[in-house]
Amino acid sequence: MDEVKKNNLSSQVEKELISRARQNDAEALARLYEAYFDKIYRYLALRLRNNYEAEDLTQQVFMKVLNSISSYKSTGVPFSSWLYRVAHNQMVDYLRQQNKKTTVNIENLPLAHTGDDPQSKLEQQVDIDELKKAVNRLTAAQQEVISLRFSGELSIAQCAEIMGKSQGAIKALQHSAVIALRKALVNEA
Amino acid sequence: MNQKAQFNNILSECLDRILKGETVAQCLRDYPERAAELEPLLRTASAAKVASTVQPRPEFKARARYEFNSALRNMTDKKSERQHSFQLHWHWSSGWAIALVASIVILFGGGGTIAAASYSMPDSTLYPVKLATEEFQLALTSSDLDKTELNARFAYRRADEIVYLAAKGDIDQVTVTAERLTSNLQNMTNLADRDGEDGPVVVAPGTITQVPSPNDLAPISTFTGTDDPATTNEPTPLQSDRTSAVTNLETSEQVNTNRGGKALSPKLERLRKIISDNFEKRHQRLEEALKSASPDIKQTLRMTIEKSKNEYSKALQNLYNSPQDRD
Repeated sequence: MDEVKKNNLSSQVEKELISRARQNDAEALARLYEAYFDKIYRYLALRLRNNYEAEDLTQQVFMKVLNSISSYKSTGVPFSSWLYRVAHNQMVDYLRQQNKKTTVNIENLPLAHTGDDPQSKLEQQVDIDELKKAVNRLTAAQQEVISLRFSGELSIAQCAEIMGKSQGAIKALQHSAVIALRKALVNEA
Repeated sequence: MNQKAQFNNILSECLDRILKGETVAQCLRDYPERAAELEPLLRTASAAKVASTVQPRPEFKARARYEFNSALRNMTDKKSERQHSFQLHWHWSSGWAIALVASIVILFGGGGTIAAASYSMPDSTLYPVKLATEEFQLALTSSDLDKTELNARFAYRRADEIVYLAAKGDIDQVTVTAERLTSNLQNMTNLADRDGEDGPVVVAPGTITQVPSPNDLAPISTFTGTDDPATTNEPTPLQSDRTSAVTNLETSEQVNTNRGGKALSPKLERLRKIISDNFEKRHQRLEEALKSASPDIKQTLRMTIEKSKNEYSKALQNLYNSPQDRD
């Protein structure tokens, strides 16, 4: 918790760090790395089937950031959006290479009839593996919005910037994603 | 605003609140007319909050941080080398070289892979790409001077890898990487020597003896197999070794100049600086590793440090013996 607090940067501090990082200032780059490393890992871990893939890609994302930070323009896209965009692109490339992307149209899945109350299942703690399985059954766009909102804890505005959609579109997508996630979790249960 | 958009707004607001720690009940209280529709979605969101608690494994985090910092150091080193703006350049311009680079890029799936590989450690799947890329760089470099510089740089990478492996306690890989380090250093020394055989020695004869020999460097005692300070013949602290080595070197230059002997040519002086700086940084890294290494790894590290010192000294001697007008 202390580490989280320590790594959360105020927007002013972050702005200064980004400015220095663009000049390849090692200390600034290291601080940005510490601030975002866990978040990017979480974002990737929810979308990828095993944690080793998430680990490899997290490292690749930050190596990429190291090589391309000087080309990042502080005007326009916020740094966090740019960073998640890098992570997103890295993941899409990876999944394309691995040909691992399998999406089931969750809208057509029936609710499971287990005899238990599905809602009470969700009252209980869902573990991360169950959540990952459920998320993997959503469409790519639904997965993306769930990852950004729940792993990255990003706002609707940030999600809109990263996904290149309007805030209204993100809210609608979020709605359909949460419905689909519910169905998937109940079916998993 | 239509009903659907209105509901999406309420849902978004409630999700924000749940992400910040509020309960489902608190949100529902504010929207009783929508509670039936909202509740199942908010409970799902509440369950999905587990995603924000995922943490990377500490050992992965440590390794990743180490590799990132190594990459940072590498970048900073390159930046400072660029600032020297000396004309040590690689011969990338010819068409055949570009074609070869392109084929490597295709072979390994792109430049990103090579870039990522350059920061990889010996236990990484990308490490063979790193070594292959180094070989490739050496093969593309025609000048012995540039090759010497590359070998010096690769030797520093090996030292970095040894530090990482020593922290992991991987004795087998430490040994293998130490051999690679020695090989890089021997290449460096041999390259400096090769030109020296062909031409006359231009530097005034007296100055050669000023270059530190292996014996000038403080000896490192042999590891006795125990870490007990009372029974172990503790090695000379590396900090002082390093200082003495570098100090000797600077003195040799001063004496050389004071006696009216020819100073090294700008290129050789540049190379001397690279070798000396590299030696200093390498030893700082190895010294770090030595502090916390297990006894069996300490033994390997001490042998590596000793070899490194010897090769450093030989390389400098060769440098001072070299013709001044070489490439």
